Amino acid sequence: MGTFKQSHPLKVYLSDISPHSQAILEFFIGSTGGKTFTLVATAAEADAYITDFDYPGSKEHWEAEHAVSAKPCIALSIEDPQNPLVEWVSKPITANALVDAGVSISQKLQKVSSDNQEEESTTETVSRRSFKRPPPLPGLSTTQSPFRKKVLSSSPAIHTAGYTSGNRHHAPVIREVAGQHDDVAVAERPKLEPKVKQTTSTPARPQTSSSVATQQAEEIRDDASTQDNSPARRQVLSVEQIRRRQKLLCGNHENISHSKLKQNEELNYNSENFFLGTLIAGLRLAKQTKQVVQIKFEPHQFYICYDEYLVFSPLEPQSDEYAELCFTRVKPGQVNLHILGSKESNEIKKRIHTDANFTHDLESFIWTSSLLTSRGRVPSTLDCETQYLLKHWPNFTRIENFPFAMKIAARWQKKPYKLSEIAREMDIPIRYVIAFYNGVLGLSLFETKQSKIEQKINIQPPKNKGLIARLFGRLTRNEATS
Amino acid sequence: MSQINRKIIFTGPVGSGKTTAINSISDIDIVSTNQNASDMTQKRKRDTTVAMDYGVIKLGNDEKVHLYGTPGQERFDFMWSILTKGGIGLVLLLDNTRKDSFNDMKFYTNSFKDFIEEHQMVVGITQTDRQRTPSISQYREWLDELGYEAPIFEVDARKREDISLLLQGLLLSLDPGVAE
Repeated sequence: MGTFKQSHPLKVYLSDISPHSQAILEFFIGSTGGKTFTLVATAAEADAYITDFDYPGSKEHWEAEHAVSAKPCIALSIEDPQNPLVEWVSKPITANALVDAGVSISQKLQKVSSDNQEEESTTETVSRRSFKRPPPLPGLSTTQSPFRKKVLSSSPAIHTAGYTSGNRHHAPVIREVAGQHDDVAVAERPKLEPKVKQTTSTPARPQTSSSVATQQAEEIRDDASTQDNSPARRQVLSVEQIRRRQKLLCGNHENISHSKLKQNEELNYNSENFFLGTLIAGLRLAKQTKQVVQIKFEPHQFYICYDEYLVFSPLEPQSDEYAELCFTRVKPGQVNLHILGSKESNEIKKRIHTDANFTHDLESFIWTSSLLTSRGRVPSTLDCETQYLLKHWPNFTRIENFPFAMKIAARWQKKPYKLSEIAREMDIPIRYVIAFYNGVLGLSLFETKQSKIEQKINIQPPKNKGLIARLFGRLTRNEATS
Repeated sequence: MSQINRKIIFTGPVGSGKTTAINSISDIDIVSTNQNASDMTQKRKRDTTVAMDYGVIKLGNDEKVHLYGTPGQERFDFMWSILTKGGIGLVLLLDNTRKDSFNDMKFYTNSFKDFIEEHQMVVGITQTDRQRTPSISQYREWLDELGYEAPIFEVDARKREDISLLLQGLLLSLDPGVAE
């Protein structure tokens, strides 16, 4: 064994380690473990081994190696191998335990190295190399173990930079290393460059201007970027269709003052007077009873299946007919709720599973129903001076989206705002804030604990970070163009 | 020109769709280390990620955001603290078909506790087309119980638009004024 300098990382050779663990260790040593360890390709170059003692035959293999080279070993195993010659790292392995074992071996090697130097200075007749190394056992080659070959041949070719072969399994190239051990095979790891996908990468787009013209474009773009995610809107809609749908969902008010919102009866609605009121009541009932709840609205019948989080609706929520149903006041006795018995519930559940065209995600259905009912109006119960705080984001991948909805959610979760404050701060038409408010109200996603709202009143949302803005721009741009 | 290297980490249990999600959003073919699963993992997935997945979103001018997926198997959790260095946020994917999704959420939020507190997390629920329960409402309650605040969306890891929205949620949570 050569002179060991503790200031250098410990040179380790991975022996009898499964490809999985080998990949992990290579990554670890290639990153933060690099201060303590450095990987070498052959046992001859190593100061020490790292061996998985739970690997079949590994213990015997290392003992044979040790008999020849006297190199220490970090043994990874579930149980303590009870071997004073090894540094045991118990599984599951932690980074700290590995580093500790490495440091311990380094210290021991340093001590041995110092002892050797002292000895050399007094006894020049004894070579350092032969000092610690016992004579080879007869008939034993360092590379005759079948395990080494097994490990090498199944190596997944992991690279320290994190670029790996992945599903495209590159077989490791086996080459002979001349001048070291005659029969040591080393896996030469092919360098891999990540292959660029054949997708369009559009150049960076300047930030949106606040002018009216660009804002309109932004509204369309913002909607186009998300419209694909609503289940029933996977078809491509024209700009005119998008505008028309937005009007049904959000109304068409530009900016309305606080006082006007409350004073103008046309801008107010009471959900109890609409289908939405019964839908919300049905949802509560279904949640409480854990049974399927039927809403009869002649000639239609809707079913809420809370345990599956689904609604069975004969009308497509994106249809004009459903929009009209939601916006029309119900007459007394026109809508009825029924809790179904077990037999009927099971029949409905079967239909839910077989008639996917009539089945809708519960949240998405309530969200759309809330927006179609409000159509830019506010609930008559709204207190315009109240600051609201969003407790949870709506399920944006499944609900019907409209411009600025995600941005409103982000802002409203960070800090409590009045409706008008959000619109002003974001410089957007208030109809989008009203629409978002209505949708969230239907889903009960606002914070109700006053103490939590007060905690966040003085919070300043973080400022725009360059990289985050650029990445956001890239993602939204891609969605809009895809 | 100096390169800015920031990461987004994808984590979650075996089979939750980390590899697929990265593949959906990455500008390069994902660099993966999937291997045939040889242990309990095999019950859930034929092959599994043993070290990590790697993908990239290119922003132009040599600027990139690296996407790293943690190995699904818990025995490799010592790598997680390494992977999160330089991270801007965490994407936690949870498989809705697993037996104890709450425990999964608890385990992963606890494992990345420090990182989440310093940065931001977003949660994607996968496989909801195969199993509807627990509902997203239930996940929100669990998140409350664990004391975390994060957007939760149902996602299909194969769909770029779902993963894109998930990442947009992450970025907007980091900075609500990001797009203004």
